[in-house]
Order: sequence, then structure tokens, then C-alpha cells
Amino acid sequence: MIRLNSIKFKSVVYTLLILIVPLALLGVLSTFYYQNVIKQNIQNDCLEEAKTVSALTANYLDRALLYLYGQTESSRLIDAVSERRIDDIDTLVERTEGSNSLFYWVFVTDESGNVLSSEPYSNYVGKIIDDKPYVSEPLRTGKPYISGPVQSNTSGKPAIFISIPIAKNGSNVGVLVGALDQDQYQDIIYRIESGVPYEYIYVVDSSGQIVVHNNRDYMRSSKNFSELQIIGNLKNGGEGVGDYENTIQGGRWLGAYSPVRDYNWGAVVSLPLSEAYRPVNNAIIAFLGILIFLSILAAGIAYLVSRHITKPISSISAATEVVGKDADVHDYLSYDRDDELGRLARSFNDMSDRIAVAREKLVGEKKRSDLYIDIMGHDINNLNQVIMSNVEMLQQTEGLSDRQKEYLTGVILAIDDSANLIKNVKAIQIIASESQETTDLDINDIILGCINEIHPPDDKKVTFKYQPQKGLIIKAMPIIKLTFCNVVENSVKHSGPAVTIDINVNDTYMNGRKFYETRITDNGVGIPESIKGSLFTRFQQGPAMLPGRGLGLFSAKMIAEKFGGLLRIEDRVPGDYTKGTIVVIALPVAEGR
Amino acid sequence: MNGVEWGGGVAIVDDERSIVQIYREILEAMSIPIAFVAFDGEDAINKFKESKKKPQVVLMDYRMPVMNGIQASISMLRIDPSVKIIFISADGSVRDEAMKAGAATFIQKPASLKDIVIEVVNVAKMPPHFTS
Repeated sequence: MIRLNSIKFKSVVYTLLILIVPLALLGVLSTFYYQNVIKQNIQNDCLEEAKTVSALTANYLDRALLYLYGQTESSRLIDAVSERRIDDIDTLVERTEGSNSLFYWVFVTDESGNVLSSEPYSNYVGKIIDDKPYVSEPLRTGKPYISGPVQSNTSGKPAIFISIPIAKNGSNVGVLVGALDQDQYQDIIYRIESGVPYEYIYVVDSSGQIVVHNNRDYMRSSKNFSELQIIGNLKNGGEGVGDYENTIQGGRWLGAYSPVRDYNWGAVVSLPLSEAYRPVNNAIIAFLGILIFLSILAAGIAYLVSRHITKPISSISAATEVVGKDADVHDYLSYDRDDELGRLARSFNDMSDRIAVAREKLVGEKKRSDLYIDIMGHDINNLNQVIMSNVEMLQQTEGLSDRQKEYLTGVILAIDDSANLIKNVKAIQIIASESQETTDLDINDIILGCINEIHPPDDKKVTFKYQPQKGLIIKAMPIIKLTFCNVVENSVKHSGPAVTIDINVNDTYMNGRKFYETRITDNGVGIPESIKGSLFTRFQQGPAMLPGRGLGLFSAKMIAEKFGGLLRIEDRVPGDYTKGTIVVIALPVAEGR
Repeated sequence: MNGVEWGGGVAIVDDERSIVQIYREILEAMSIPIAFVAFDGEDAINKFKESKKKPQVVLMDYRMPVMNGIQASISMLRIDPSVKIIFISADGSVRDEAMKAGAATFIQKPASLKDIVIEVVNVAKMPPHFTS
């Protein structure tokens, strides 16, 4: 199971963040940016297309007008019409219709609107069509006329009629009319078709009526698109691109429109918004696809990073937790890499091997140390017992001189010191051991126990001043008794023929915690200043140390500190150590007391 | 003698023969009869069982071959709960264990003969059911 605070997990997350966050930010920002760019490009393309259609339309109409102009400038036609030479007119009309591809029908009327000649619809000859604006308007104004889309009954096809007045000596003698082929016109327009699906290109006249449209039904029915907003814009001579509501074909559409100059027509390129902006959507989908692909790629890279870098680190970390335990660190390490991690694994392995060897050695030393202490504690004390008992028996011998009795007493005192030495060494061993099971102990019981166990020599008078007070509870091991007993024994031992030992216990506070402070005051020989400093530095003791006294106080202090307390020495009379000593033992009160 | 009516006397159990000898001498000097002497726990139990008059006090060492003093004390007290056992050992750490096993008192070696004799007399004076 992967821990959330593990280096493995973090490396995967960070790698993913490093790889994906910039990509995502870049992607989102570029999407927003390019979305607008693409939209603008689409709109520009549509507008350019509309302009092109507009230009083509203008060109188409220009060509048609110019051609007819050229014919009406011909004196042969002018004379033939003014003189009613029908055969000549027919020849000229036939040539006019046949020599160009713009018009599918050409006819000529006289100044009364009477059709003089018609090609190819000869049955049109003789009809009077002065009511048709494309006849009456040129005759009236003397200017060319271009009609809107007209459904011709004669030809059966929609047509745009372009008419030019035929003038002689300033008077209109007739009109030359050409009918443009809308289907052909549509073909010309759609040569520039962009190929975009659902795109509609159409041209409307000044009234908004369809001239050409992708949908020929609109052409046949001369559908009027003037209700559309963009057609209104066109009528006002505007040019542009934008969204609009297409009430004819339904939905929101994008439309680009451009006026056909000089003719009051307009060209429109339009398509549904959903289709217009499909490239934008496609770009977003493509981006998401790329992002997903990059995410998978990043996850793969993160996995490789994790596997190649963090896994060995995690393994070394796991190995550190089992160093010194029964598990084999070699199971966690891979040494076959040549890089820093491989060297780290090998170094760690060497280090753990050295630790194992040192630990084994330490365990051996500990066993040996325990054995020595056991020997001291049991076998030497047994020997001490034998020596002491024999000396005591010897002391009973009659006729011993005082000097001989002193020698024997000296032996017994030495045995006492030897036993105390062993006791303190064992105490240090216990304190230094790992097992530290503490219990509630009463300082009052400890002090009384020490007082009762003191057996001063017959020639020494020891007076204790202690007012028992129960309930001085501390949390410690029973070995704490040695701290108090050692101090009391020292006071007895290092004093004159009579010693008074004053013991009192008070509450005190250190760092906000309550302590019991026991002050053991004697009027013994005291401790010189030169010795006090080094008394508790067992391994720095010099020859100045008081014989037999150092270890007792050393172990007493060590034990007190082990249970969170302290031990310090003061002169009974400040500045004069010869007046006796105060040993202060402070131990924390058991919690909840 | 010593204010005590020594019926069964004192048994000495210790593997250290020189110590046993000293105890014997001092007790005899104090006119305290010796019930028996044993040099290990098992030997002590056997002699305790064989005793027609059970010793009133047993001076018991802790660390001995074959069987230690604690086990021997427990067995003796099962046989005769009135026997008073003074544990006398160089190993102070077994004090609590010895007292739990039923010892009347515990003396740590090295101890003066005077203290040992005082304890022997004091323990012998204790009522049969007393254990400290």
C-alpha cells in the first residue's frame, strides 16, 4: 500500500504535476486564443468568399452590359431598327444571341415596345411589351436597365433581363434586351465554392429577391430574403460578417455579405453556426485527445521515475528500519546499479554490516559485563561473607592487642566498601539496562528504610532528625532507594564519632512541574570545593577523589536523573565546607498526585 | 537459650562449605542446635523430610547447584508451613522473590555474624503464622 507521505507517492504526483500542469495551462490558454483565431479566420474566409462572389457578379453584369452596349452602338442595328428592316434586325439579333454565351435569349423592340425580332423565341415577335419595365424604363430614361429575376413564360426559365436603349440622333428608336441565363450564372458562381459542407452562397437583388442560390427552388420561386437581418445590412450598402437568426432556413447562422457595387445587389455566404465553428470544436476535441495522451505519457514517465529513482530510495528507507533487527537488509537493496543510488545501496549495506558486527560485539560485551557483575554480585560477596565471618570469629579471640583489633576492623570496613562498590555497580547496570518498569513509591518509606538499614559502628553515635510524612509519591524503580541510602551512608561514614543527619522534604517547582525536594544535611567532614566539581564525572575522576565516596554519590545522582530528578551538593554553612554537607535530591511528583 | 526454646534447631543450607562451617560454629557457640546442614536445595528438602523434629529456622542461600533456595523454600513450607526461613544471599535482587516465596526475612551478604544471629533469634520468636 502506498503511503500518501511517501517519497514514491510524492514523486509520482510531482512528476505528473510538472508534466501535466504546464501542458494543461498551455492547452487551455492556446485553446482560448486559437478558438478566437480560428473563428476570426472562418469569418474572414466567409467574407472574402462573399467579396469574391460580389466581384464575380459585378464582372458578369459588366460584361453583359458592355456586350449589349457594343451592339447598340452599331449603326447597322440603329438604322435597321429606325427603318424597320426586319431581316437585318433578325440577322443582327441572331448574331448577337449566337455569338456570346451570356444570353440565352435576345430580342429587339421598337420605341412602342413592339417586339421586332426575337432569337431563339421567334413566336415572341409582334408582341407589345411596353408594360415590361425592362422595355419601358430604358425607353423612358434612355439608360440601361437590369431587371430582377423574372420567370419568363416564353422561355419557361428564370431570367435577368438587361436592356439597352437604341438611340438615333438623340431619340430612342428601340430597345435591345438580353436575358441572362441564371443557371449558367449559378455555375459560374459556384466555381468558387469553398467545399465547406452546408455552406450556402447566394446573390440577391436590390429587393432582396434571390438571383442565384445553391437551392435552385429558391431561384425558381424567386424567394425573397429581405426579412433576414444581413439582407437589411446589404440594402444599406453594408459589408461584413456576423451571426444572425435565419428565419427562413431555421437556426442561428453565420453570414458574410458584400454589396455588388453599382447594381444594388448583394452577395451572401452563409452556413449554420454549428457547421461554421465545427473546426473550433474539432480543435478542442483534438486538444483533449492530446492532453489525455500526454497524461498517459506523463503517468508512464512518473511510473518510470518512481521505479527507477524513488523505489530504491524507499527500499533503503525500509532497510534503515530493519537495521539491527532480525530482518536481512540485503532483501531491500539493489546493488547492481552504477549510479549514486547503487553506491548508496552498497554504502548502506557496508554500514549495516559494520553495525551488525558492532552490535554483535556489543551484545558480547554486554554479556561479559553482566557476567562480571554477576560474579561480583554473588561470588565476591560470598567470599566477602567468608572473610567477614572469619574476621569476626578472629575478633573473638582472647588476648588480641588493640592494634590487632584495629587491623581486623579495617578488614571488615574494607569488606563493607567492597560490598557497597558491588551494590553501586549493579545499580548502574540496572539503570543502564533497557527495561525500566517504574511504579509508585513513597519517599517517606524510602527514607525510613534507609534509616533502619544503617548499622553504624559501635563507637559512632548517629542521630537522625526526620519527621515522617506519608504520601510523598514518586514514579520510579525500587533502585531509587539507593540514591537516598548512599547519601545517608556517606553522611554516616564520612563524619566524626557523632553525626547528626537532618532530613526534610518540601515541595518545589521546576519548569512548571512539582518536585519533592529532599535535603539531607550532616555535620560531617564536608566535601572540599576542589573535589565537588569532579565528583559526578565518574570517568574524569582524578586522584583527588574521596576514597570510597565517589561511586556512591555518582550512582545516586545517575539514578535520580534517570527518573527525571536531580542531585546537587551544597555546604551546610555556605563558604565553609568543613561544617558539613547538604545533599539535595529532587524528584518529580508522580502524575495525578 | 536466648529466650527461645530450641526444639528442632536451625538448619543451614549453603553450597559454600566455609560459610556453612562459620554459621555452624557461631550458632553452636550461641548454644543454638543445628538441625542439619545441606549443600544444595534438593539435599535440603530430603533432609528436611527425614527430620523427625523439623528445624524451627532455616538459613537458606539462594544460588546453589541442583535446586535454588526459592524452590527449596517453597517445598519446605509446603511440608511444614511453620518453618521460618531466613534468606541469606549475595544477590540482593532476589529479595522480593524470596519474600513472596514465604521467607521470614532477607539478609544480604556480606552480613555480620552478629546481625545473622540476631535475625535467627528474632525469627525463631515469631509466632508460627508470621511472615514479614
